[in-house]
Amino acid sequence: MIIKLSGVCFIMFCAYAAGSVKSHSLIARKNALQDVLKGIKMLKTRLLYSDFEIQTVLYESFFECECISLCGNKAYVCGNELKKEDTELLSQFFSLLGTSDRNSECERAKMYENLLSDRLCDAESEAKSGCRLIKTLSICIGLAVCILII
Amino acid sequence: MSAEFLSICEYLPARLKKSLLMLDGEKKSTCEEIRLRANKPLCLTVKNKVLYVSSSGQTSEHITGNTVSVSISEIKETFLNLCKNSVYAHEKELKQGFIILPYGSRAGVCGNFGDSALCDVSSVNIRIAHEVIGCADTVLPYIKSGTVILGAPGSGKTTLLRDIVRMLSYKNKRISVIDSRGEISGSSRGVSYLDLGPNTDILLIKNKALGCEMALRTLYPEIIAFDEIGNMAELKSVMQLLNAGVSIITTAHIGNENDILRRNITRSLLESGAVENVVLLSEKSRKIPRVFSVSEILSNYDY
Repeated sequence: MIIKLSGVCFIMFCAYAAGSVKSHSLIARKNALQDVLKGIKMLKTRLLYSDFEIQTVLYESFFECECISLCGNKAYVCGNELKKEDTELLSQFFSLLGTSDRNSECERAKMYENLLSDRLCDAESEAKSGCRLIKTLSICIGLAVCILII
Repeated sequence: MSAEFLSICEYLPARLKKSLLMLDGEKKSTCEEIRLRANKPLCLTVKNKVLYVSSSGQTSEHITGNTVSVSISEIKETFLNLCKNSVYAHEKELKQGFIILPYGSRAGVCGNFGDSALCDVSSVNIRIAHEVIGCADTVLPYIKSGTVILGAPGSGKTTLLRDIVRMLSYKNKRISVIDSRGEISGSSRGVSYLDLGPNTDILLIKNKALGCEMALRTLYPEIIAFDEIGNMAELKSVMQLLNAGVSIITTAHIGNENDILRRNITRSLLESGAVENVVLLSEKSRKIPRVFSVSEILSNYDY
C-alpha cells in the first residue's frame, strides 16, 4: 500500500515536472522577447541621440540580453528560448543595422520594435493560457497513468 | 608612410587589398591617394601622377588588360568599412562629402546626395595623410610672427603647417589649432594620432571663425593655427586675433604665384597686416619652400 502510494506520488510529481518544463519554454520565450524589445528601444534612443559607433551602441543596448550574442560590429541570436521565426526576424534586423542614415535607422528600429511587440503579445497570451493548460494536462495524464497502474 | 598605407588597405575588400599589398615599397610609401570608382579601374596618385593598378601589383600610366576594376559591391563594402558599419555616426561628415579616418587620412565620398542622406555611393577617394617630421626645418628660423602658407592643392601646405606647429609647440609656445576636418591633428573620435607637440590645444570645430573666438577667450594662446583661410568671416576673426596680440599661422590655396594678389582673400590677408611672412610652396619646390616677407610680395607682384 505504501509502495503504491509512493509510486503514485512519484508519477504525479514526474508528470507535474514535465508539464512545468514544457510551460517554462513558453515563459522563457516571453522573457527573451521582452529583453530584446527593451534592447531595441535603448538602441533606438542611442541611434537618435548619440554619435557612438555601432559596436558601442550594440553593447550598451544588449549587454543584459542573454539571447543576443555580440561580436564586434555584429549581433547574433543565440540560445533556444526564441522560435525560429523570431530568430529570423532579429537576424534580418541586425544584418542591416548601421548601413543607413540616422532617420532610416530609427524608422527601421521602430518598425521592428512594432513587429516584436506583436510577437510579445502573442507570447504573453500563449504563456498565460498555455502554462495553465499544460500543467493541468500533465496532472491529468499523471492521474490517468496512476489509475491504469493501480 | 607605409604604415598609413597598410592601415588604409584594411578598409578595402579582399581582392583590392591583395593587389595593393603587392605594390613595391616605394609606391606604398609615396602613394598619396587611392581612388575607387564603380566599374572603373582602381587607381593611385603617386607624386601627382595617376597610376592604374593591375591584379599582380604592377602599375601603369595607361589602362591595360590586367588593370583591376572596382565593382559596385566593392565600393559599398569599402564605404561600410570606412564608416565601421555606422553610417549614421558619420552623418555630419558625410553631409560634407567625406569621412575622417585615423592618422589624418580622409576619404572623400561621391554619390547620390539625397535630401537627408548620401545614398548610392559611386566613388571613394582615400587621401593618405603623411606626417613629415622635420619638413619645417628650413622655414622655422624665418617664422617670427604671423605666417601664411600658400600653395596649390596637394602641394603640402597642411603637412608643413603641422610640422611648424609641432616644432613651435616643442619650443614652449602655447598654440591652439582650429582643426575643422581633423586633418591637421589626425583626430578621429576624440583621439589625435599625429604629433602636434606638448603645448598644443586642438579644437575640432567646423566654424573656424568661432573656433578662433573660443580659443582666444578660453585657451590664452600665443599662436592660433588653422588650415585654409577661405572666407571673409575667417579673415575678420584673424583681425580680432591681431588686435588681441595673437599670431596666426594659416594656409591658403593658390593656383600659381600670380594668384597671390588676384585672389581677394589672400590679398586682403596680406594687406591686413596680420601676417608678416609668406611661405610659398609649388610642385617644383615641394621640398624647399620659399619664404618671403609680405612687403616683398606686395611690392614685387602685379595685381
